[in-house]
Amino acid sequence: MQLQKTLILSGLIAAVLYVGLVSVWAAETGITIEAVDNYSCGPLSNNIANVDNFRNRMLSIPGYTAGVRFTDSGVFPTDFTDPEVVSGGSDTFNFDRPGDAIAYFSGHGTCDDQTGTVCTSTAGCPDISGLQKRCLRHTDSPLQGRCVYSRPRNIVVDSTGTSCQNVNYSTNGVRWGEDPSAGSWAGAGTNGGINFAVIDNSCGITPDLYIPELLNAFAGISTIALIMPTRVGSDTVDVANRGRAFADRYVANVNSAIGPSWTDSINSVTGGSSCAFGGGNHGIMGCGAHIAISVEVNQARAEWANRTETWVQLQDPANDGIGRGWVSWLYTCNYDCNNHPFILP
Amino acid sequence: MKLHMASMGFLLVLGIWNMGPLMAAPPELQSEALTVTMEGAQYEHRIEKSRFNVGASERHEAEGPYKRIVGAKGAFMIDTVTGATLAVPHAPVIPKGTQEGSDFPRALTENPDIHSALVQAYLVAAGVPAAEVSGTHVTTTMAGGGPVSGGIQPSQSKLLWYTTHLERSLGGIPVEGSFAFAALDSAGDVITEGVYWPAIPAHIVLNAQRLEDRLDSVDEWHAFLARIKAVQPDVGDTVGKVKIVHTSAGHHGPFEAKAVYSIVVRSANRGKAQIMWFDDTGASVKMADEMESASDSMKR
Repeated sequence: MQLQKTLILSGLIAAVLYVGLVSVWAAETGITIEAVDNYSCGPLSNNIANVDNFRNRMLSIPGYTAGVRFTDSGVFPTDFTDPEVVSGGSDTFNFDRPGDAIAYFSGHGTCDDQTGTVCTSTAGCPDISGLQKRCLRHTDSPLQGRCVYSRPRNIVVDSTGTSCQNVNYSTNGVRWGEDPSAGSWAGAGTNGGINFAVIDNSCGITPDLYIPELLNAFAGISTIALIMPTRVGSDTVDVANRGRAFADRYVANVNSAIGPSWTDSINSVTGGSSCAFGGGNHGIMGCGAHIAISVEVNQARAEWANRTETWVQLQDPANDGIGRGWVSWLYTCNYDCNNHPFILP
Repeated sequence: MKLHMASMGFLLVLGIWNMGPLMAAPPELQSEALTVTMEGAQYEHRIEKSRFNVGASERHEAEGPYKRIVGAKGAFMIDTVTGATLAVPHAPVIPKGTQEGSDFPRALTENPDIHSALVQAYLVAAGVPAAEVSGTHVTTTMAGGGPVSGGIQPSQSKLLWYTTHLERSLGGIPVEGSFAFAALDSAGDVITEGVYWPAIPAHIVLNAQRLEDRLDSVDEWHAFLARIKAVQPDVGDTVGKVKIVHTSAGHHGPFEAKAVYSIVVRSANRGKAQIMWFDDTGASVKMADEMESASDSMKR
């Protein structure tokens, strides 16, 4: 009798605890991966392996779950765009699904932000209407740069296998992370969900031009992780070990911060070529960095999202972004970018 | 020079007592003369030899192929399949939105040469074979931020820390895939570190040396280039390098190491550059950890 009472009491306590936990914290745990190797505009070979290696490593311990996986012709331009912002957008079922925490794209991008125009200061770069400009260090002696501009950045897909298509994630229909806990402040409803996106493409972001090139995509997502070439002519390399190097930080320590995990993962990535300012490699041809960019309503929230939020906390929708007031960034260059700053002011 | 002097002074102030194990003279790097055929020795890093402090309440965990030593400050993981190690600090416990500024460690120095000398001495003393270390380089972690309305200014990015990497070569041939790196904070303690330094069979080193010798001949070089262009026309006139490559730190299948001719080729149209590897016959090489390993979902 005493045993029966104890069991009933234990069951009631367990039920109350379970209901309480569920109501407080419906975890977003999915990991979605999209990658293209079969490009008609220049085939690649390691993107699919790269995202598979990422997700397999993440799922090798409990905590996260598999979202969807699309590759090659299964990756549509509309996978990345929001249905409430652009007609035909379908990120709700693809790259920005409710219940997902992380989405990782690996494939081509475009490098039309870079020019061969020589400069010695940002002011010396010719103006281009509607675009911001920077003078990006190119040589130390003589101290000289090349002009770069805030042209929209692109994910490149090839759903037909015959024609590459650009998905502009700077100024068009991309909004990621909007859900009931984030709110609909970005004008994209509440039909998204991801809290961390990796865009593993070429020329993912132009140094210093984070706001014109990325602000638009933040609609509740904590952080967007990219690869940033820091010298004209440098670029991301097609390697299969970048995603797994990132996931290794989670497997090593689930209570580590996810933004720094991305930037630090460059240290475990191999392959590439040397940088004109020393160093180089680490998955980059020339000079570049892994960068994590967070946008939030104020400084304290943005810095927390960028540098403190853990892999576990990322699953909690209560930590979603709630506005666009402050941008925080963290990057790790594959060379000494402290003594060779990449912008010539 | 001012920077250099300031950093040296800083190190002196820091105190020999704390830096003693690190301040040992850095071992000599692999010399040009040391190009004899040799196998690559394995080094597996261990917490006992590490300057990464996991903190109080240390406990040991085993989860599938991973072993971890976890404490109040961080975790030191050993991949029991590959022998790779990775030390990663915990994130500071701060509720969201309650604090401006991050509790990041402070940089040891703004002079990367000083950082690299200390890390090299530390990792070689721990057991990384000095004769296989052919150089060092740094990566640099920086952070910044600002109001969206104010735009971004370059001066907003500040140095957080350097990470020094030991570069590996065997018989004068660079090895791609191995790594030994560490980042030191202002107290000389490790912020993060990782080591994957697998054994490389002697015949792989010999194959690489033979390939390099062969390609020194102009006629052989042109014949080889013609063969790889037939396989990969994108190669063009890009010049590559003979390397030893191996499967990556997280690969849980059979270990592979190969001697290859490696070329980085930029896409002619748009986007990512490719690393192309060729064996001594000019055939394309792909490693076991470069294969896709799942199937697509149903599209909605």
